[in-house]
Amino acid sequence: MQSLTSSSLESEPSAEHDQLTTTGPYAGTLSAFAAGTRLRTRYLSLLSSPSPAKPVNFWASDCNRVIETARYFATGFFGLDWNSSTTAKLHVIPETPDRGADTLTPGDTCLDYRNDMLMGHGYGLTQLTEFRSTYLPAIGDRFGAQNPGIRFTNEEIYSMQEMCGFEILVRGLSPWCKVFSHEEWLNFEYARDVLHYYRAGPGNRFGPVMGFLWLNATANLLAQGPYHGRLFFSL
Amino acid sequence: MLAALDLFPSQQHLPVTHRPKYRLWQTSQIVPMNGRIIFERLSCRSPVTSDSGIDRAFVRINVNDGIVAIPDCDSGPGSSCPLEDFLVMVRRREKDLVGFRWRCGLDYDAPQEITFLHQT
Repeated sequence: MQSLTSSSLESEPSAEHDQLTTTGPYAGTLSAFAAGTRLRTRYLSLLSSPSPAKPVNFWASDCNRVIETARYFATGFFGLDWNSSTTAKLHVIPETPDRGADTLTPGDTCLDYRNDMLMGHGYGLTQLTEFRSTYLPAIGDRFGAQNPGIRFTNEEIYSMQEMCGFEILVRGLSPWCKVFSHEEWLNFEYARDVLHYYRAGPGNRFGPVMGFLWLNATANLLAQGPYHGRLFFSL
Repeated sequence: MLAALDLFPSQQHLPVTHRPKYRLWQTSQIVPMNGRIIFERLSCRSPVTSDSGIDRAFVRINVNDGIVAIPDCDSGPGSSCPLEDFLVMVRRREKDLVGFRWRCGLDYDAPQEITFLHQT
């Protein structure tokens, strides 16, 4: 617990909430640019276009961190002049309910998914809460023995485990990682698997329905073949 | 999308009473930060068969720099899936998954499919 006091994150952390991370070796900005560069290396042959050059369309959900990721990715893939009229064109796709199925984020537009407290989006958290109660109390006992007078809740301990991962993304390391045992980390990893499996994965009745929209559109593109476009980036 | 394609199938749903020893669904592998899924369309010439010299199309899926074979469709080069088989598979899934509007409680005139993914 002593390591807590020496942590020095952002001075205004709330401003960075839900935004692309910009510092450390695992920064989102760096990762996106690196990904663009690696894919450029792999798919350069798909970039050569007939003249006059038509810009390559690519798409990002209307969410700030996604748009920024797209721009860093494009810089790596297309170069610094990615936004020129002949290189590439970024299309921002809204996430508002009126879009219906015509979106990259049907999780925002599928109303029943959002409103069904039992089996919709919330089902992931329900299942997560159930599983983590099988391994967190023992950690609570351990902390209680080491710090008499303090009893942390399951939610608080889970947040400490999350801190290891999220802090690594901003700083490259986190003292929280040393607080837990290997077995406790395996359980945390599985907890995250449970969360996403039941939130929007195969364990949620809406998951495959929402995912089918993009899968169907992509299958149609594959069927049409390269004359209708050789590169399609959806972010 | 992965659920729609059922790329990482499980015999039973993930238990919440304990952590199973083996599972395909591992988010650290499938959807990490900076994760990506790439569908590649391959065009390959048949080597020595009755239709020698004909180009055939295949689909291959790359998940975070690893090729993942599509369950029940990996007969192509490098465990790829023949395009026509892939399309049949998607059409089969469509039977259970079509109908975004009514499944989501939207109005009958709400947009029912993606229209923006095109280069032309």
